Amino acid sequence: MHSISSCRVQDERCFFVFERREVSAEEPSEPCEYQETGIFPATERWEISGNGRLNRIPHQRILVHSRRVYFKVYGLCWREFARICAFCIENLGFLRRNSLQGRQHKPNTEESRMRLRNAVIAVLCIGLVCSVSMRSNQTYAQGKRAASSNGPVVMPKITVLNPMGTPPPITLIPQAPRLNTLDGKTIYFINTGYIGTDRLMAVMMDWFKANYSKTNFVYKDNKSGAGLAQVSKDLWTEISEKGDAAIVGLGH
Amino acid sequence: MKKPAVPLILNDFEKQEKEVAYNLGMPGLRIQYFRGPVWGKTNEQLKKQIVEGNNPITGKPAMPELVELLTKPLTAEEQKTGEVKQDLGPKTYTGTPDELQKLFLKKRYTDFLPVVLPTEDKVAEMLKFTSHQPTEILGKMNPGSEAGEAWSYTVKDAAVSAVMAGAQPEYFPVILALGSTGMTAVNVSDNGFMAGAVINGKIRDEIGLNYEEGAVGPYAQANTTIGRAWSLLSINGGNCGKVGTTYMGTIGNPMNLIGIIIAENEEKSPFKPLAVRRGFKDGENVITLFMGWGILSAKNWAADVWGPNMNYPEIIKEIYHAQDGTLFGTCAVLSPPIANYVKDGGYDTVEKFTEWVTGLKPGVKPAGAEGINSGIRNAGGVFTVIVTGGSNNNYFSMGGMVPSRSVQIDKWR
Repeated sequence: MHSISSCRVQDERCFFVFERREVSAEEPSEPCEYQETGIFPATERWEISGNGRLNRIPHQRILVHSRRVYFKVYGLCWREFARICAFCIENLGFLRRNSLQGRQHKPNTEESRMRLRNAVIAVLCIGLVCSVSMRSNQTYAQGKRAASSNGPVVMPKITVLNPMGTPPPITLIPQAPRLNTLDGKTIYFINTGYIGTDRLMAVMMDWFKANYSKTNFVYKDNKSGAGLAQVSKDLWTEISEKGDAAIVGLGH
Repeated sequence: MKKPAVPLILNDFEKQEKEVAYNLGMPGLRIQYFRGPVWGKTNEQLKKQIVEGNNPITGKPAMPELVELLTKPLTAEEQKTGEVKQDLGPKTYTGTPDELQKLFLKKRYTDFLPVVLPTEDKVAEMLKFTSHQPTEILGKMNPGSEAGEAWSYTVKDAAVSAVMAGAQPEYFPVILALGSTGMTAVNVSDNGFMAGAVINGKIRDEIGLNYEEGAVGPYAQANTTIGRAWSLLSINGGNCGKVGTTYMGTIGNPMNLIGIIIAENEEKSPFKPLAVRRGFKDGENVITLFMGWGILSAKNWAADVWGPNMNYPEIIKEIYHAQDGTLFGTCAVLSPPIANYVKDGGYDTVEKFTEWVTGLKPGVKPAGAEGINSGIRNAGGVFTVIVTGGSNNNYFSMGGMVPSRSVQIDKWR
């Protein structure tokens, strides 16, 4: 069994990377007319030439003619092959759906089988990774394989949707005016309940008392531990009426 | 209250708090930063390290700077009013698949794994599996109560996330049910919370959820992609999962990637399905959301020592009492063999077992969140039993996960 792990298109050739796992003897066989597993060493790469012959090639890319002919992929079950073709059609536009459908049935006779064999250009790379590429007969015949493999990437463009949701509109809130001085003012320390905040505020108030002797300080403990959202309205009202400013913590 | 106020924030949360303040309409909110953590320090440490120390961001002495934040006159920028619209970019992007994958990574639309690119065709295919309109507001979500106003998302937004996650269209009603709750799969908390869900009903088989061997592992397309779709919807529909702003787990939680999507093994469980115990009809397709720390093998606890004689009910009870159930209680994910050990031990219902494990009569609420920060340990808390997995051995998992809402799936078909 194989599955596509990635695919890219370069200079009219499609490079697939397959992942492969072993098919156990107990596993139900797929309806695969051309399944021939385990015959190609993992270290070797294969290609089908223009006359339909299978040739060993020394690099990791396996060339497959497309557009006019269909390729046979040794060792791949038919369902996987169909999926690869569908992937090409949907994402790359390289294969023609009608032609593909015409080849998706199982040949009934040896003759049709042979005809399909001759038409097929396929390669299997058995190993952890194998690649299949496509290119035109003409380009192949002109012997430009090496040059074209290093050519610029040509990939069809697609349009996709922006996945973002919708944030609420932001209404700007001006901050409250600042104090001219702390002298004679009442500063509230609001402990929203996170662990250790009581200690921190006690130490902070000591500093304030030592440095601002004319300022009053009031400590209020919000025991819910659930943050500012849970500070009671009564406390907010008290600060509004009796306080001049507030120090709120702790954002941990 | 129209009085000047200054929040005290630890400097590690600067980026997050600035974003929260921006979202709440106060982009220039005056905040005083301190070096944390504060928790667990003595008064002397707090005095030396924080009160007599510097603001780690500005480098200035912290306390005089705090006074300045209360007394320095406001700038024009700080007094601005009006409305700000957030630019989320165009509705569509066009490019090659490689370009778009890179773009989605750059814009942080993904979980850093490759996604299926959400073309209009693929999204339309997903939408065929619900009768709800694409423009319908499915829910509102934020990364947690601390992280600003909730974003909203439509049925179509959820379909986009489902496509990106690699979900099959037939999973879509389940994904919509999850999204309809507004519960994030990726919480902002520095604790590193995770989220999960338990699915009951015939839909388990209809869409191929795994509830046999490997049930809570990642190697089943339905379980994994439903969880991933929920996570991606949280990232894109709920503004979650952004490290430094909306994902602040001190350590983080690896279960945030795909959550834990559990299908109960109802066929091999000796107990009623979770959804039935929560008031739904037997066979009804229901998803129950969970939040918590996650689960791990019960072998992690000393109570579960392998031997020739195993008293699994006692082991579960001992683990329950070793847990701090304050926030998320205790969740036991039992394989069918373990669930049957429990039944054979004399507890033929989860309710009887729960009463025995917790020591609480049915309906009595265990100590919960009111005990937070009190330093008092709350054993176990809410006790939940889920049965799933294979029967190939006597293994089970436990942890902290508490059920929240249960939602009917079929209403999202």
